[in-house]
Amino acid sequence: MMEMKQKKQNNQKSQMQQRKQKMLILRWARVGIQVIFFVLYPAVFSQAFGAIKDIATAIGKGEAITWTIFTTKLMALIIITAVAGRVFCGWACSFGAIGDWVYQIGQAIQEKIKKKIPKLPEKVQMLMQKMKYLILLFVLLMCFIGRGDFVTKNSPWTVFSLITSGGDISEYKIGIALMIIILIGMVVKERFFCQFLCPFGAVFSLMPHIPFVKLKRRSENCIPNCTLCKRNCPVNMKLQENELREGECIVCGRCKYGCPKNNISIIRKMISSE
Amino acid sequence: MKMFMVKMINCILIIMILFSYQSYASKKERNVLAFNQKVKIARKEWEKESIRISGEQNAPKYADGKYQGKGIGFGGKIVVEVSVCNGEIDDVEIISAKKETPDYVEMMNALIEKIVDAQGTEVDVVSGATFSSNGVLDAVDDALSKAGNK
Repeated sequence: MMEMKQKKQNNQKSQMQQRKQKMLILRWARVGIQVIFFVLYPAVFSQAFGAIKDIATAIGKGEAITWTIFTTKLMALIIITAVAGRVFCGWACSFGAIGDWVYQIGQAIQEKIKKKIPKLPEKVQMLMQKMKYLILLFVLLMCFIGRGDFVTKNSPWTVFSLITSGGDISEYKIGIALMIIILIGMVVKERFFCQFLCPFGAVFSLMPHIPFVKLKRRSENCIPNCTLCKRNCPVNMKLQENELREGECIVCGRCKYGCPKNNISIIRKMISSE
Repeated sequence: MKMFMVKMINCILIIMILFSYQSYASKKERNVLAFNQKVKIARKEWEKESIRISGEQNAPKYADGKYQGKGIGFGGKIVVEVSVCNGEIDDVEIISAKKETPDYVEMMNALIEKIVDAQGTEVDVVSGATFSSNGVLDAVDDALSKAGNK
């Protein structure tokens, strides 16, 4: 009897270790891909969003929309996101990558000094996630009334792209201040910018995600009241719990590899009919 | 599934609105372009007439030739060459833009078209490429300052 119990415990232990290892591999795989995209395409997000600003500006002026290389990039990102979810946000966006790295460094420091920044209450987090829609609305309105330059002048993205290309940022005081605030936020909360402030993220989360490739949770298999996937999730989400917030998912995959019951899987709905 | 349908319908609506807007706006733009062309021709005629009547020729704004100018783009120098022919800006060529990636250089070609159309640098910058745009505009201004008839 004792032996059986011991064996079961050992088994559980090794399973946990396996999970931990998988999570570690996942984390470094993501960092690796992020680094590649950071080096190759650090400006895609601002270019593609620039195309959205362009469209709003053109409509505000009553001019025809011109198709540029930025519009092509925007279309590519929109199609990818519609088919596979926000993989761009989670794995390729350079600004998101910065957020992840800053957060991880912050975590490592917190572990060293054995002090933890308190967690954001769930309600506050949910409320703050709505802010990005207001920012998107503000940016679009500014472009629409022909003051898009105001956004560009004060945007932390301008500062970021100037830094990545080695430009002079001394003139952009507000942008620098915002960037510093965002960096602090990134230490406090994982994906701070992406879930709370990013106007492009707002566009993505409002978009329909054609369930071609999707993470799915088999809720009937779940341990009652288990919230492990939610706690592992950067945007504090349990899959298939609240349809309204489904757009927040950045496909980091941590819920899948963190689940002790292997309840979350990638489904290809169109191919294998459920 | 309900949410997906709502999003899908919104998405289709937005696409439809954008498309209908685009067809309306481009039609309008074509009309404006045709009108401007007419104005341009009429203006040239008028200028010819006034020269014939008064017998003296207004000096063109720019002297013919090729002029180089410099501007600061995205963290780097941009050098352009402006060709002036018959007193008009004929072409702008980007000679060097080391810090600008190929995408931006391509975007700049659209800007150059605008400059040639407007015969000056009072044109809208390409959003998303504000710095490169301003760099090119500064460089063209710099070049034109050398081309000005004193």
